[in-house]
Amino acid sequence: MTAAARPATRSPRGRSRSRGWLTALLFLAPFLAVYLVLLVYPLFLGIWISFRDWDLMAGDYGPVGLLNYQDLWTDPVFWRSTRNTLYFALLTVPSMTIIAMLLALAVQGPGRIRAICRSVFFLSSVFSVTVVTLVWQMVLAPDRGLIAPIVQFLGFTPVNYLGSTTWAMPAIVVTTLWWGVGLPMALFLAALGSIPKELYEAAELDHASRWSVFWRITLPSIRHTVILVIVLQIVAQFQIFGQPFLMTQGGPANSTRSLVQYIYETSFRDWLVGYGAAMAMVLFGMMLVFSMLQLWLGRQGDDR
Amino acid sequence: MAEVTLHGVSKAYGGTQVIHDVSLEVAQGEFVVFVGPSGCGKSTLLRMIAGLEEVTGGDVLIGGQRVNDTAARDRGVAMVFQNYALYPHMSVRDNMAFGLRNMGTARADIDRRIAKAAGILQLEPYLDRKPRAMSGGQRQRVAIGRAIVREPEVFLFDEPLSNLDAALRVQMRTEIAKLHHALGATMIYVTHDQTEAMTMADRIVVLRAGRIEQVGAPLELYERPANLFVAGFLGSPKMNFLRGRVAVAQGSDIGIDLAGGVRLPARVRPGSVRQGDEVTLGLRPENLGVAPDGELRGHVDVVEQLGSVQLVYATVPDGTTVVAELRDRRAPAVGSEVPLVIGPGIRHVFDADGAAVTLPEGDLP
Amino acid sequence: MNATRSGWALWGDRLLLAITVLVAILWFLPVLWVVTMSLKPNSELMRSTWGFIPYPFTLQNYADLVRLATVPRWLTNSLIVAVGMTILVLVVSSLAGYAFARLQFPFKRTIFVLMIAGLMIPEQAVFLPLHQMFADWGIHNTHAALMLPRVAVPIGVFLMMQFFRAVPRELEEAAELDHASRFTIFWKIMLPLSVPALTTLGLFTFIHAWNDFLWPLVSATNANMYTVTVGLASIQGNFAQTQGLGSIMASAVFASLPIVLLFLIFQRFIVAGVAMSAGK
Ligand SMILES: Nc1ncnc2c1ncn2[C@@H]1O[C@H](COP(=O)(O)OP(=O)(O)O)[C@@H](O)[C@H]1O
Ligand SMILES: [Mg+2]
Repeated sequence: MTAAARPATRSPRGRSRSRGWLTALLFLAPFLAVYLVLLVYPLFLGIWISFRDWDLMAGDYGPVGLLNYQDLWTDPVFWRSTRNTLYFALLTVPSMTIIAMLLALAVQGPGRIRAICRSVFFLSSVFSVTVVTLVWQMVLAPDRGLIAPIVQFLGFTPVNYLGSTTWAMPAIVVTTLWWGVGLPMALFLAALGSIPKELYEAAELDHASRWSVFWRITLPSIRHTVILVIVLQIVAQFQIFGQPFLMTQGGPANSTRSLVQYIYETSFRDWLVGYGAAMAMVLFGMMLVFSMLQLWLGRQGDDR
Repeated sequence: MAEVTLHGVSKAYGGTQVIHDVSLEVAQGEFVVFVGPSGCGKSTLLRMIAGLEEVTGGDVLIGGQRVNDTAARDRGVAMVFQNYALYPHMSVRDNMAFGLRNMGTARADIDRRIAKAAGILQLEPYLDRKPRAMSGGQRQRVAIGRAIVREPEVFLFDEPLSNLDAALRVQMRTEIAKLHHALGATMIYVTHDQTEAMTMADRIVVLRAGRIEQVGAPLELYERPANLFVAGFLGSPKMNFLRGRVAVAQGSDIGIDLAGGVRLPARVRPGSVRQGDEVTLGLRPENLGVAPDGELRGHVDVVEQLGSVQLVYATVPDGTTVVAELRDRRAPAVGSEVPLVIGPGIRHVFDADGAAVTLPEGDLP
Repeated sequence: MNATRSGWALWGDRLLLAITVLVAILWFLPVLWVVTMSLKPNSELMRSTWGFIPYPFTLQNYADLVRLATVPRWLTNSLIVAVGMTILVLVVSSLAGYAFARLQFPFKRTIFVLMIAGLMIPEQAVFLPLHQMFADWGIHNTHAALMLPRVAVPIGVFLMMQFFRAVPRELEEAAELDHASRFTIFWKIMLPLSVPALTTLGLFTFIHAWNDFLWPLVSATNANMYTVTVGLASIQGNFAQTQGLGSIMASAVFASLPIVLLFLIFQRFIVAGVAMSAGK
């Protein structure tokens, strides 16, 4: 009986399973379509373009091998932009992390006042880069800004910060901090909120000082978030474009031109899309290293 | 209404077999309870009947129809889950109507069935509430209501009362029993709580590690457990087990030597044990008393006063703790030595493998 | 001794709070200043930009803005793009997130890993080829061109998947027994339950779309198709002409109003969303 029944019974189950796959495919199809067409394909197209002499208007002049990458090697503006980008990240990432943590510590907890402060610190990150740079160009303006009177009051001569090779980059960093601190602060707030209250109560009973509570309890408890914030910040700040592009146009004397700005200008001002694509791939490679680092660190966290 | 039949059903997750060759017949309109310790496979078995879990061996039949490859929705079963599984964003009414609407039931019919179920379960005042605004007991009633309106052939319950507090559990127990009488539907009910099994079931199926240990009516299992596991699992407080050795064996009459130089007579199936065999003697707490002529000496450790009875926990010479359920109110003092007497009830005897060898007619009066 | 200690602690808390409030005020000052300037006549601003009280007061700058109609036009573009992108992201992410959370299909793991790998592709790596593709298709300077490149967001799929996974399985099993099809389960059970997650994802998508700069800068070359972010950048160049200062400030305020309102209404979802994505 069973010998005859087996094949007959297997087929309906097989059919229902393939119907299950079909359903899954329907659910996945929209995402897969946009993902493949608008992310994966462009990525490979970009790699392909980076090996060609490609003009924005005239189109493809054919393959040039590694020429674009060789040109990069000897392009002083490329190196300058890379250095600027790294310098910017170096200034921004640690200060952003520390300020975000300090603000989170200051505004965590109950009460209306703290809630309003939280909103204020987060609010600035919903503005667009255009508005933020507009605001800070005004704030930093030497003649009618907000900083100038204070500097004057302190007995110094106000400088045109955005026009100074020394001060332009720090000014952009300050702008970025004001703009971007909300998200890492919120991440820290979430982490602080998930520390068990008992830990603090135990510390209280042990007469621990504020200082030692921070170093012995708070910081160890949020160390994964610290790493997360640092890596997210590195990846984000590598992509800097809008702030210098709008505030200094990369000047003075190329001192704030970022890699993305140079890619943009190479491709859309000089129309050298192939060369721009090669640069984009280099930037992608650098960011990939840090993304990998994030994945790796994330996995370390899971093992714990 | 339909009967449920399992033919050598087994289930494996990857390489691990969690249900081993289970065969069972549940008659139409019967209330069957699957009971066993947690992790023994009760839910898995139930979910295979429901069609939520694929059967990896054997057959499941509902109403005589093989349903192994039938989708859960087409098996004519309804299930009540431990965590209620109510749709949180729908009102009580919509929760109950959801399945009927999916089946394309006429609106008037839906309303009628909901009204009827709400009447049975006293849910009328709550029909427009969201589950979150209800107590655990009410939520479980809604879950049962959702099953009722579907008018299923078979009701499946997976530990429906585990999330309720003790008092509510007792109340819901009787309500579900009443419901069974009112609907007369086939019901399969899973629980790890032997009290629920004893009080509700027409028949109990005791499971251990994916195997059926014994099937039978509650009293049958209580009085005639097939093995040490069933004997220990059903009944509260648990049956007392005393290790002993067969001293004399003549036909069905044997004498068992216990530690402390006590010899007790018992009756077993002739030839099932021989002189010198290790056996376990099982005595229900209500079959143990305190009397001056007691054979067994016990050292009283704890006395629990339950009002109607009192439980005396005593250590006997071989070091095991036994429980005696006393009906009189004169409690022995804690720390004292008392003589324990064995009443006229059944003396269960289990052989070295744990299988019961007690004589079927036994010592019944 | 304990009492003095807690007394000190109390004063410490108050001092910290006071400092925090001070910092918050300083933090907010630039915003207040810009709003103030936008409410002052240009003649007054020529004289001095100092001060946080809009006196003399005027709404002229806003009136000019609305009359000129370019800024409202950009604002409309931004709204269309942001709303469209948000809807598309929600649809695409919730469907795929559900498939990854609860459906079985061949190569599930592989597809999932490939999707997660997509998290590491930054927009800068694809914006040049995308520009080329869209030029070939002839769709630059349309709303669709502004939305499409941001629809494939693996992080959205990931968030929705995480959320769906947390929904008790029994809920779906109950629905299955209730004769619900896969799509009914998704549409009538899972989606209504995921409103908080959808709100959070939607908010972040909206803010992201609203503030997107690089892509609209290269895709929308026709001033009529500018989003407000790019449009404002295009008039910032004239910022040296002091007579326009009030108008520029007004356009900045005007352009930020929708997003600030959104933020004020939905704040708690933003915080919840951060907690959710961090708690992965
Ligand atoms: N999806 C699964 N994958 C692997 N093992 C499972 C799965 N579900 C249940 N099991 C195992 O099957 C056994 C029986 O589980 P279950 O039926 O839930 O037990 P019960 O309901 O009796 O407590 C357990 O040992 C459990 O670990
Ligand atoms: Mg179970």
